[in-house]
Parts: sequence; C-alpha cells; structure tokens
Amino acid sequence: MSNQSEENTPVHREISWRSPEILGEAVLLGVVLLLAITYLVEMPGLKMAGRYLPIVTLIFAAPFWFIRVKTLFDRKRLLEAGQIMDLGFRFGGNAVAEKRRAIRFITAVAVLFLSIWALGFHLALPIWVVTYLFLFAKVKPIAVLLIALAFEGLLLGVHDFIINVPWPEPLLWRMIGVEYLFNEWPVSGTY
Amino acid sequence: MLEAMLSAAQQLFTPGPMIAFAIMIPVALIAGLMPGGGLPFIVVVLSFTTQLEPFTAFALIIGYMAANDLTEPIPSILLGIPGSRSSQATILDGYPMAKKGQAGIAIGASYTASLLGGIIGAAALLAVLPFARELLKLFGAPEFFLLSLLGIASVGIISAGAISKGLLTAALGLFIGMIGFNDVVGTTRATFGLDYLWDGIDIIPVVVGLFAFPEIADLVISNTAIAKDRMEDMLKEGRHDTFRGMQEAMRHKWLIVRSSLIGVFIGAMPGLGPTPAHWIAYAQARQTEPGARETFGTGDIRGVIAPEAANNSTDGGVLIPTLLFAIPGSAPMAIVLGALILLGIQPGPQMVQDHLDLTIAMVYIIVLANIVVVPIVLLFAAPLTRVSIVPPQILAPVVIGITTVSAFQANISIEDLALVSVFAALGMFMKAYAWPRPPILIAIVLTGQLEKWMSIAIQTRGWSMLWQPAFVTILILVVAGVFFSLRVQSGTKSVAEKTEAEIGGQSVIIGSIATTTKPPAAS
Repeated sequence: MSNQSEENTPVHREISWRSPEILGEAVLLGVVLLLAITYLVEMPGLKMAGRYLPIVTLIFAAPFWFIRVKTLFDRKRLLEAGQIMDLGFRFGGNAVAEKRRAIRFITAVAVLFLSIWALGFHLALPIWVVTYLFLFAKVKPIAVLLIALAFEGLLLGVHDFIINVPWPEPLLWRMIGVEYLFNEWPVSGTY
Repeated sequence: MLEAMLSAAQQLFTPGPMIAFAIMIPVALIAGLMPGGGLPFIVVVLSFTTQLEPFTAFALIIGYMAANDLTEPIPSILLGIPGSRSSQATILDGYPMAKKGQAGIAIGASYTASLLGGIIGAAALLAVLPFARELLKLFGAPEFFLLSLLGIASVGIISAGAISKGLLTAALGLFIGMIGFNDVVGTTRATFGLDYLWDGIDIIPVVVGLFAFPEIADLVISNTAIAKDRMEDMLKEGRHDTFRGMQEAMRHKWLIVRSSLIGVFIGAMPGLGPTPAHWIAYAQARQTEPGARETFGTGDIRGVIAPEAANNSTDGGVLIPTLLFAIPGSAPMAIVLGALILLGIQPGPQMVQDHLDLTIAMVYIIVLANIVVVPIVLLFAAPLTRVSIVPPQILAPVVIGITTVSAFQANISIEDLALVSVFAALGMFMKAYAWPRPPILIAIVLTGQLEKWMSIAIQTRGWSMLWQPAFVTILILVVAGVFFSLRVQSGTKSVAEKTEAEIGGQSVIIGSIATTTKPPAAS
C-alpha cells in the first residue's frame, strides 16, 4: 500500500511486480476476464433477450480492459488524483505499524467469520469481541464483560426473540450431532 | 400534486414511521460522530428495512443519512478533522475560530446554515417534481435504457481519476449484476454451478464488503488518536455562544441562499455530490463577500456558513437524478436505490407516477431530520463530541460485530459472509489504490432495470432506436453533462488547492486519494 507522500507526487514511478497494487490489479483484471469468458461461453444457450446486456457490457468493457492490461505491464503509475467520492486510507508516517495493524485487521475478520461458521454466532461473536478487546484494546475486564454481554443480548433479544432468525447449523454442532440450541429459543409459541 | 403531498403526510406522520425515525436519530448522530463515520452502520439500517413497509423504511434510511450528514461540522470545527470529504472547507475557517475560543459561534452558525441549506435542498426537489412528471411522460424504454447505461458510465468517469479505471469498474458491476436468475431472460447466467448464486448477488453483502469493512479497516490501520483535552478546552471556551452564531448566520442569509442553490445544482449532477459543491460555495463566498479575500482562512464566520449550507442542500439535489432517472450520483444514493428495489419499488419514472407520495415523503423526512437534529446537536454538542474520542481499537470490534450480524441477517445466509469477504478484499484494494467503488454498486443495483428496458426497447423499436431524436438528444445531453461534471471536478480541485495555498490553511488535500488530516497543533 502506498503512503500519502507518494500519492501526491505528480511523477510516474515504476512499481515492483510483487507490489499489492500490481498483484491486486492483475487479480481484478483476471476476474473481469473470467466473467467475460463465462458470458461468452453461455451466450449460445441463452434466449435472444438474455444476450443483449452481456454483449453491450462486453463491447463496453473490452477497450478499458485492454488499456488496464497495458498499464499493468508498463508498471509505471501515476496514482490518479481526483477521485471525488472517496477519502482513501489515511496513512500517517509509521508504515511498519500500519502494516502490522492491517494484517491484524484482516486476520481478526477472517478468524471471526471462520469461528461463526464453526461455532455459530452466539458463541463466536462474544468470544471474538472479548478476545479482541483483551489483546488489542487493553480495556478493563468488567467493560469487556459488559460489551460481550451486550452482544449476547443483541443476539438473544433482537435476533432470537423479536425477529426469530433461523440460524444455520454451525460446523462443530453438526460434527458432534447436536442441534443448534439457539434455534429452539424462544420456544415456539412463546412469542 | 397537492393530493400526493397530503397523502405523503398522512402516511408518514403515523406511529410506525415516526417511531422508526425517533430511534434512528440518536443512532445516526452517534454513528456519524464515531471515528470512521456513519457508512458502516448504513448496513445495519438497510438490513432491517426489508421487513418494513416503504414509508417506515425510508423514514429510517433518509432520516439516517440526513442526520448523519449533520454531524460532519463538529469534528471539522472542534478538532480540525473532516468528518468526510464534504466538510473539508469548513475546517479552513471553523478550526481557526475554535482556536480563538469561538467554537460555539462557529457551531451555531454552521448548524443554522445547514438547517436552511437542507430545507432549501428539499424544497428544490419538491419544486422539480411537477416538471419532472411532464418530462418523464415523453420518455420510453429506449430513453431509460440509455439514461441508465450512461448514468453508470458517467459515475465511473467522474468518480475516478482515471477514466479506464472508472469504466472498467462499471463494467465489472454490470457483469456481477447479471449473475443469477433473471425473469426477463428466463434463465440463469454465470452461476458457476453454485446454487447460492441463483438468486444473484444481493446488495447488502456488497455494501458491507465494498464500503463498510474498508472504512473500519481505515479506522484500525490509521489508529487516529484524538487529543481529548484539546477538544474539551474548545468546548468549554465556546459553548455559550451558539445562539450568537445563529444570529450571525441569519445576518448572512443571502450567502446561505446562494450557497444552497450551488449545492442543489451540483448535487443534481451525477457523480459530483457534496464535495465539489461545498468547495465551490466556499470559493464563491471568498470571491464575492466584501473583505473575504483578506479574512478567509483566519476564522471568518462566512467561511463556515457557505460550505455548510451548500453541503446540506445537496441532500435534496442528489435525490433528483436518483429518484427520477434512477441514476444515483453517489454510493449512499446507490444504497437508497438498492433499498427501493429491495422493497419492490421501481425507481425512475414510476417514482413520480406511481409513488409520488413516497417521493414527497422523502422531502418531508429531509426537512424533519434537519428541524429535529439541529437543536439536538446544538444542545448536546459537548457529550456528542465525546463519541469522536472513543479509541479505534475499542470501536472496531464492536462495529465489526454489529455489521457482521446485519450482513447475515439480511438474507439469513451464512454464505453471505463469504461474499462479504470477497467484496471486502476488493473494497480495500480499491480504496487503497484509487479505484472508484460507487460504480460497482450502482451498476449492480441498476442491472435489472437496465436489462428490462433494453429488452423492451429492442423488441418494440429494434435497433432503429439508436437514430430516434429523443435517444440522440439524451446521448448529447448526458455527454455534455459528463463533460461539465469533469470540468467542475477539475475546477474544484484547483479551487481547493488555490484557496489552501493562498490562505495557508490546514493540510487538507482535495483531489488525492488520501488526506493528511492529523489534527493541527493547538496554538
């Protein structure tokens, strides 16, 4: 990720092939190509009405895709100024600390999603919040406990009691052959 | 029209929408003042709207957005940190005023300007409706198809520094929007054999991934620490002066009107929104107000009034293309459009023909939000501002947790979390490297109706529609509009840079993908 001073320097610069900017754009262009090929392959099997928009989009996208591929291979970038709807990331001076926090954020979110899939919302979410606050926020234990209880309250009070959300069976519960007990709460007919 | 206005009032001012609105106001104020802004919480609002009737749903969504916008001057004036891009110009005079012990005057003036700006913006939307109704009667499927396609393209062009990036992301949005079953086509497309993709890509995981998570990531990564003592000093010095600030604002009522009209006009241009509007209003005030060239940037109250009036009046302006032509000018407006579609309401001409009362209700909600929120903020500025100093490391897990539950709750689908992860990775990449995110969302939201109009147009008129006078006229108008918007955008950038250079203001950099908005040292 680039920093502030680089972004505002109005000169072209060459970027390493291994930079996230180049790799990310390569993946993005790959996804666009994959979708374009998929629509092209499926097109003969579609009714006429189903072909119009894919054709228009393919014609619309093709020149810009090739322009970006050329830019990608040039690896010379002027990070374009003028993006008007976005503040971008507010990078400061300590690149090492920012990189560490970025990795921490991505890992924490991945752990949260995987633990929700494995354990279910009612267990994973409060445990994850408690762990995050203990590890990174240095909050008093009582405050951590209150926040965790607030999350459990949100799940039980709003999502179970008011909306009555049908929760998916988490992986771990399926493996041990037990039904996710929060799908039984509130007991049918009590609300 | 009068009948629709009455009907809108009868349906809006009932317990359901009003309770929703009352619950939403404190949520919007707290969310807006949190470091990271109110965008992540829009998902929470959106996830509840699918279960509500339209008037209640829009009391929530429009109320949230309008109230959220009204929190922006507080961090700008008290902390020298823009709440968003559309409150950067306010810092140039608001923060020097706060440093001189006039924080209360600046806040009072900015909120009076915001209140009047918001009302003028809403009135402009109301005034446009009768003309728009007549105009839209002349349009058919080919014209709406062209408007939608060019609307997506123009947002892509305008919102990016590089045209190729903007248009490629718009195309990516169209490709994604075509995934799944389509009732016009009668078959599925690009599902890759996954049952999950049969229903297409839902808007809520897209919004969570593309917009909410990158904002939370920004909060965690930047770890902006705000000096609590400095902010409290500012408040202590100036909290009794808000009424004086309101009186000062009323002395400059014509500046408020002028700036508000700029806000409405710029807001109605697809892809521009409040950022250029508030800079242009600031620049015109500096050019036209007596003595402003010498005093702007040193704590001149007119430098707070002009951008805030323009900023808030764009709320009405941006709804004009969003509701009437189904061309959202910004990401929040794409979310409004997405909410309409989720509720089964077709945006575009039907909004003024079949749902005129709902359209008018949105005007009422903007006005009501301004009338209710401004006194609350003026009375409770000090406690509300304390929300801004919650450390990001405490705020982040709470916001991530709430947003994750909301992302799941919208469709009760655990697979949505995988989709959120994909779009979060895409969103963080795009945010970091200046790829515009709104065109993807706008294209996904519009694909369904784009395909419907295109299909009808080709079946009824064939490819000869390309030579129809109305079609060609719209093409010329949209191209001219894009050209104008690009000129405004580049003009805004130079105005902002020139203004900052001339007055030696804060290090707020417009036109770049990031801002150096560390709080300036208190003098």
